[in-house]
Amino acid sequence: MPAVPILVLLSGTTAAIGTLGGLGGAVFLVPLLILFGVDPHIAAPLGILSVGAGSLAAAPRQLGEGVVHHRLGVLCEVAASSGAIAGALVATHMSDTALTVFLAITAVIAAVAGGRRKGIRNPPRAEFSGELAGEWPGTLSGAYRLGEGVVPYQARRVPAGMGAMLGAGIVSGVAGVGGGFIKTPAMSEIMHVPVKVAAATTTFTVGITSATSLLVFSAQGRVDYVAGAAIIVGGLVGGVLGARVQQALRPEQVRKFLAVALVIVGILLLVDL
Amino acid sequence: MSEEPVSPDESPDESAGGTPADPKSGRQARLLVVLRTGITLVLAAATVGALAPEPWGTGAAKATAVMLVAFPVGRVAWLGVRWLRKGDTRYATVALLLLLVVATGAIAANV
Repeated sequence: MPAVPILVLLSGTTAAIGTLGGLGGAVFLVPLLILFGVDPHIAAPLGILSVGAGSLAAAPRQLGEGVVHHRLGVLCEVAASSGAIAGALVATHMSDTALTVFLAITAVIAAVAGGRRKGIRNPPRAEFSGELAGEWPGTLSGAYRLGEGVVPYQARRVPAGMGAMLGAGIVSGVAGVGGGFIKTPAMSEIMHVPVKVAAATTTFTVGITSATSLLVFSAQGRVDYVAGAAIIVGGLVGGVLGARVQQALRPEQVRKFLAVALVIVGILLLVDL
Repeated sequence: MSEEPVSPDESPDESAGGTPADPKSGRQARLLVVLRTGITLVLAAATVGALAPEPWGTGAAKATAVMLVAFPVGRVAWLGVRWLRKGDTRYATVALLLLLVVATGAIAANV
């Protein structure tokens, strides 16, 4: 196991990247820990702890900005957490190689889908200029601020989106990641939710997924709590930094960064085979 | 004294002759306070867990993990109660369903 300062640095960096792109961080951290010699069965729970810490760290700022759609997040998370439980049960029957290839392909597909889209799907609407940012009660709609304008949005193709969330949950349960690198593109590309809202809502939901997965890993006796504490320290600091940087970026910038980050993840996973 | 922005989810009630203070307004501000307090508690416990000698280190580290489970689950429970009070029974039910899913996972892991 790497020393505490190294664990803090690794976790902080990956948490910042994960929060920025709504990925959750563990999808970067787990491969890095394995490269540093950590047993994969121990690395996965450490990754989940980073996910939870990053989600908590980003929560206050994103909540204050009105970019988290809690109703959409809770609805999606029903599918995702169900998948995470199923994934944890299936994990014992999958080889490490099969799982790694599966994750790498999924990350690259998400990068291609997000990187191909040009322009802003949800432009500001003048008639909504007086609206406050936030979700609209009882609906999967809302509005968020984009520069000087206000952008209304509505989640679409909800059943298809829930299916993607179920898949993300299964991946999470199997690999010990938050699944954000699937959830954010799914919410943005399938459900047509603005990227910044999708990323912030995903950051909220991966905290729940991590809690669900952590309960399972803890019961299995796979959590190194002291190493996890170092991971959490880095995760909290990185999550706060990532949320602050996210505020200053345009949707296109977030989308491009997300696409590049996902390609790097896919390469890292394949190289680690 | 800074003014808290009112989100669409907590619009103040209006009545003739003025706008009385909505007793429900500002509750997301309370959630913000809880979350910020949680970050401080988790960071403090995690720091102790990473640096303190045994048995304090492991104890503090386990407490950190417990909090990382409790805060997101508690947030969902808080949202569910809030939505129920606002008459949004649909999503209050969804929140309850999510809590049941998490509980099922915890039970299944221990079976």
